[in-house]
Amino acid sequence: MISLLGSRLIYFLFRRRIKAALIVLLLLYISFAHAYDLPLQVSANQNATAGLIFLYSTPSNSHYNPAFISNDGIESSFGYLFNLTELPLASLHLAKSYRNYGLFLETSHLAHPYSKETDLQLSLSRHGKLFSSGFALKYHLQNIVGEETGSRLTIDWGLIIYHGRIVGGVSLLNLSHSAFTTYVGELNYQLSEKSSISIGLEKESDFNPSLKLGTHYSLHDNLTLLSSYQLNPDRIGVGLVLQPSRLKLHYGVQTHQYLSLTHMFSISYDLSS
Amino acid sequence: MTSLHKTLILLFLFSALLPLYPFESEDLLPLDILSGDNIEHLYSESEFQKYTLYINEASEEELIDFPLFTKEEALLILKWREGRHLSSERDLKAIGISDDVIFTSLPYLSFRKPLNYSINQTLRYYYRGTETIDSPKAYSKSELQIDNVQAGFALLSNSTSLTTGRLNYTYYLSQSYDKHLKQLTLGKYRLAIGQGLAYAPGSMFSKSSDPLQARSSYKKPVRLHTSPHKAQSLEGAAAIFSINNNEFIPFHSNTQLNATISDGKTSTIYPYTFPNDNRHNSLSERVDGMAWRYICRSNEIGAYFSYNRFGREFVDPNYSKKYTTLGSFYSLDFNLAKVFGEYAHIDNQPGFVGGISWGERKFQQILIYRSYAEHLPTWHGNPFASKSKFNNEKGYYYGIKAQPHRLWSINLFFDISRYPFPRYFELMPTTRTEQFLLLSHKRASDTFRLKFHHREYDKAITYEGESTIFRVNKLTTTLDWTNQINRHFRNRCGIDYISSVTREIDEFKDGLLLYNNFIYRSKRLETITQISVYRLGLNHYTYEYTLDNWQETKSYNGNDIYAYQIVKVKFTKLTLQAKVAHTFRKKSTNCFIQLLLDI
Repeated sequence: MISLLGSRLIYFLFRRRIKAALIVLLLLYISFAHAYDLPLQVSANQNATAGLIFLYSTPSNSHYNPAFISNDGIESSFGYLFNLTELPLASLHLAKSYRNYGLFLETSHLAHPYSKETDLQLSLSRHGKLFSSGFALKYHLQNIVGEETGSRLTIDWGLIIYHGRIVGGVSLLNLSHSAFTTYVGELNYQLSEKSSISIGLEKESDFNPSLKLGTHYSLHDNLTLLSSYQLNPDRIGVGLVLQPSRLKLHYGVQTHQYLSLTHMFSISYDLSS
Repeated sequence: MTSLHKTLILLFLFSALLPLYPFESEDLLPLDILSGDNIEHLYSESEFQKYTLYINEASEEELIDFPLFTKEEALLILKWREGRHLSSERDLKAIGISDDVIFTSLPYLSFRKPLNYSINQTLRYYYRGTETIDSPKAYSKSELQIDNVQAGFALLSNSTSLTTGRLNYTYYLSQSYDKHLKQLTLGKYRLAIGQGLAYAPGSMFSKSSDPLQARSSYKKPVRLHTSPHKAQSLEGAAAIFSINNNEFIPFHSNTQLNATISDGKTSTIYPYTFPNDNRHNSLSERVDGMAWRYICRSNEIGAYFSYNRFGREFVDPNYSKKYTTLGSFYSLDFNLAKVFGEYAHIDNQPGFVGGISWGERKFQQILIYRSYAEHLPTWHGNPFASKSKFNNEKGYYYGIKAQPHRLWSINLFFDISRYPFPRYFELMPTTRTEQFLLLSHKRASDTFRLKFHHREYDKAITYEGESTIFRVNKLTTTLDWTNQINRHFRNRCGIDYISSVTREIDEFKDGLLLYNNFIYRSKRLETITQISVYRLGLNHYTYEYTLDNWQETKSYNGNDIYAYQIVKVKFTKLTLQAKVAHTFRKKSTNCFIQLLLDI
């Protein structure tokens, strides 16, 4: 199924006259990359939407699909995973586009008294009327007390297709290590000017797939509500975005079946002209 | 099977042919005695003899159409009536109506306000029988309504006699007023406050195929308890005082509940027992309290307080004999979104349920959070929860109702709940998740529905001699087709597939239920016929019709064929209803016969 999908995507890319060099480069990097964990939801929006990125555009969305490019902007997020003060998570995201190309930079830091993890991500994407594609290089640094500091380099790849009210996207995360490769897919339908709905699938190798359903609703010009349900593990996420100006305030909360809630806050600034 | 069973079954199977009998589908028009001058051609004299014109209340049309007045006379009466009252024939004379007309019309005139009253008498007989057990029951309900006064009395007996059987009963008297005292109720009643955390009218607040119904919105805070069953009822007096947009609801209750008593202490409270049972009326309960709510358009805020006293201590030391209930609630409509909730402190145990619903008409969503303390008393409440005994629960509910196309609609809900403390046989905290999807396709006369309902929960199962917690997955898939053949006939057929998996012990159970439901409705006759064939390795529950168009839960298990027939015949003031249900292999029969007299 995946190979069939891949062949169709490659055919699609060539038909759009995208240089094969991009794909070749991407494939070359796979052999150098290493394993990586499941993607953390590193912003308030992702926390509210269980990682569904087409519901509301923010710079941090490229974390899940390197082909995604939002308006130029900067976003910073902070929260405690599972409401545990021992697990603070902070991140910074920067998105900038030039003509049909997009650049995304991200750094995130998860601190624990016994283990600290830092991630750096650089994404490049190209955008067309019908589709966007992109790839990302991720550098992961882990410091466990009493052990040597470890680091890994991985690659993500993504594709987004636009068709009227429908937006679809696929991304392959951690391509370097088949045991940890994660397949992410999302389909978004614009129900009206105010609302849209997304259905997503996330599948890590050797694990059951996780289904996701999310919605966005513009309650007011300055207020947007986000909500989601994730199946396996079962989670409900809710969030809101206050957007009085270019400066936006985001809040997202996600439930967990056994652990406490994860609250996340983000602040973003739109740099587009 | 006794001959009585066979006779009843044959009788009701033949009654399915009744729709083929040429009943008039349209009733004759009611006597329109006032329409036209040539009354003698339209109606018989005997019919006119029964007619009364309430001269002070009659409309302009009624006065003009009254055959014994000319149009001019009718207009004279109308003019006189403005701001005044006709009290006798002398007033008619004063207006200028001739003596002859007054003399002729006087037998048909009334100067008093007409008495609006209705009397409903319902008699219902139940018969439930198998090859070894017969259990008859009788039910009687009398209701009288005179203007804004409503009184009623209902009895339920465990024999076919309403005089010799052991009885459960309810009684009520209620009067509605226009001004400050809006309602006064005596007898048995129920309170409906906020989201039903402390006081709820019954099983009205639960998960359903319409996710938005999970929000409670009670318009009447005091309701008559018309069922002889005691569940959640109060007995005494309640009133509603209204001052501007404020409503004050004082209530008092002093009643007897049914409970198991162990060493003089209360063990378990039951909603329903018969008087020969030791548990019957074994526990006294007294409640005194007051509720307040402020209503402005569709917004509501309020608070309540009550002092609750039981006649005995509880076996479980976590429950008190005497305690106070204090709570507040809100329901605010901001057009774009509705927020609602209730917080209660009952016997020093906190409970909260609250949520928000938002969205456009074609795409609406709801989110509810609830948190109920481990020993929260649940005697009178029924808020949103995964189980009827709702204490010791925390959970999140998320529902979506969408109509992406005029022919298609999607209803979804998800529920994640947690029982933080051990309950029942599960000696550890447990969790439960639930997912529901209903996809409907509706055309002019056809509706197709596909439904998935998945539940995953922890359950104590005895395996290899030990009771252990296992994770159970249960999925119900339903497909049905409803065909509105014409305005009288409707047919629905469907198939349910149910499966249950417990992976840790490789246990798999499944089952299939097929059914066809046929309804004929006209003004005078209504019949409902259903036949179900099932092969089930686990319990399955569906709803089925019963008398008065109510629906009740029906449980299925095993391999069998089940059929029921309901016949409802309406006469002028009498409605006769009957239901016969028979399970063929199990050879059990249930019968319900009901007479409803409406005067």
